[in-house]
Amino acid sequence: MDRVHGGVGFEMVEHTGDLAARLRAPDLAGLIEVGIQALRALLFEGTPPPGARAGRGKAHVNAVDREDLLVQSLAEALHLMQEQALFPCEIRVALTGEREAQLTLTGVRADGHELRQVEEIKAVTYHAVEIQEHDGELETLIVFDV
Amino acid sequence: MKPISLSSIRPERLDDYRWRIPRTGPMRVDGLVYADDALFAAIRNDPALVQVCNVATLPGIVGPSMAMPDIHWGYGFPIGGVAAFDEDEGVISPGGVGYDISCGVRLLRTTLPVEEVRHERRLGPLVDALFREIPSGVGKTTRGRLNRRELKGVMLRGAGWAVERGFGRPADLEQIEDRGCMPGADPAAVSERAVERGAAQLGTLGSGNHFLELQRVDRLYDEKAAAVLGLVKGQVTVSIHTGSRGFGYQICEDHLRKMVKAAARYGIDLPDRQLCCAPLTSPEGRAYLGAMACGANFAFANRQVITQRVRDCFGKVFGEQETGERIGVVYDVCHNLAKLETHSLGGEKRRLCVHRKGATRCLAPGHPDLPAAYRAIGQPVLIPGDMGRYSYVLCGDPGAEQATFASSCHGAGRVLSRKKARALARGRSLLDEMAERGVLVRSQGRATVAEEMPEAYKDVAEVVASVEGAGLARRVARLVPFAVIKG
Repeated sequence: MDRVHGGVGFEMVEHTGDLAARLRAPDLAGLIEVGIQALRALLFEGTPPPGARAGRGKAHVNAVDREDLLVQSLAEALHLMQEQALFPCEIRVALTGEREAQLTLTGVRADGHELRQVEEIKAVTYHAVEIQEHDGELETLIVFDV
Repeated sequence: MKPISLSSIRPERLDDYRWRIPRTGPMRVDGLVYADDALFAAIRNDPALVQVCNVATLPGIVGPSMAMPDIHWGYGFPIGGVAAFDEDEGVISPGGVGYDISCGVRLLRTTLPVEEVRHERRLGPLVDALFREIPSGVGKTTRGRLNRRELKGVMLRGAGWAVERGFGRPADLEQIEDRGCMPGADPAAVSERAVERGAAQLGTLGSGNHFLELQRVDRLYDEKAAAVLGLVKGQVTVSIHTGSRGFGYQICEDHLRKMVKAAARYGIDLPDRQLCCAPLTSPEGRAYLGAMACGANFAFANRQVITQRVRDCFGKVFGEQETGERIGVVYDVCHNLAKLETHSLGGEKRRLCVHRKGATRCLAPGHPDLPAAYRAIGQPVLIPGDMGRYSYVLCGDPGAEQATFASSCHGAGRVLSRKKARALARGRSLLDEMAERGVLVRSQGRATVAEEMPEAYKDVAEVVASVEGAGLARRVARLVPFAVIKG
């Protein structure tokens, strides 16, 4: 996996047409956080320079089930990251109900040479999303349309 | 519903260009893949075949769930997928159109011979001007923003809106699918977020596989049809490949969310949630159709604005306004769209909603929807290849009307994932390699060039040979690139 924290993280997997990642985390909030980390890794290149403009974005998601919650949460995070060029240094995911989440992304604007957006992702798709439990952790594949 | 497993699929070879996937399990109809033996061997173990089968499970599907020879793994529908649904009993699926609603190709013809454009003092300035005047790349926006009223005009009138504002001329509209305006647009079905995303993106190319290419007409296969299209050997053409940008992506996303709920409400069991859909007659189905038409019209307008920018750039570089003004539209055709069309089935005329995701409409000679000038030759089908080899202009044949609901392929089709392509490009200078092949490439990012390298795609000649062999469309001309602008 590209980012591993005690078995938790994401790994990019082969997909002919688009970009796909396998996400793994102990719980649903963690899975959403890992998915946002995957998006961040795909979208941006570089590191936040000193004095970069601060940015913050919030979103509330209401879904029909946990797969929908994951997809919608990542879609909202993608929107914040792309439309505001927001590179999230801190990702907070709070589940406010069984199918509700509150996202808070705090970071800096990626609008310079040292940190910039290098990929355009059209959307987070529902294709192949099936959250499964393995060894006490949640895991799913997610496909991003590029 | 569980998706059909790849190992359970047993394709049967019907003839040199067709493979049948017999109906099994929850499939309501057969699958049918158009490909010769070599192309089929390459996709035999690709998840795209599972996607063909998944589409076959959707309610109201009429005829087989089809895939063109450029089929590859997408999300929900395969890329290269074609499926038709009964207007009364069937469904509409945003995933069967894709996020880039009405993504398509426009081909322009110039009056200039290639030697004149490739001249060392002209090509550089021309490509620089095109690169500067047509924003491309990640998140690129245009200089001005459309206000809400203007964007509503785009949604309702498409390319016609752009022409009314000086981007091109009325004659351009004649050579565009649906004259550049899909009927049924409903701006009320488009979200504020989509409006916000679209406001600054009209006239932009985008990133990924979108491009603007300068080409020379390299070979003519059907001189009579080429003459009708105004194509002569050695002449310079310009291809524009782009779509509805963030506006369309947002429309798709908004309506997918609604369809996830709607599918459950209508009791539609799905093997892949990305296939979520609603009956065509339902409020959700009608709302999506109205919003999708807005997206389609945005894409038509986008390509129309870019067309005028191309004319302006040619005019500036070649020192005479007339040069730019003499650039004409050969055709403009979408490859991500669902359309209500009338087709003959068993001798009976039926209204169907034909989803083409990575597939192109392909009308036979004589079809009333063709521009009068092209009625004798059939609809031009524009098939871009990769940036190092060639693209094709085909014309529709009667076989497509009979077999594929008047559909054909849309491109070469990816064969390498982006990840693999980037790995293959490591340590190489692709820009130099392309220059050695005689192709000047300008791109906002190196990664895009790597992902779009020629090896990442099938040889489009093989794809086109299958289409022609199957009697869907015939080759008219081959175009070879000499300058490419990528996002």
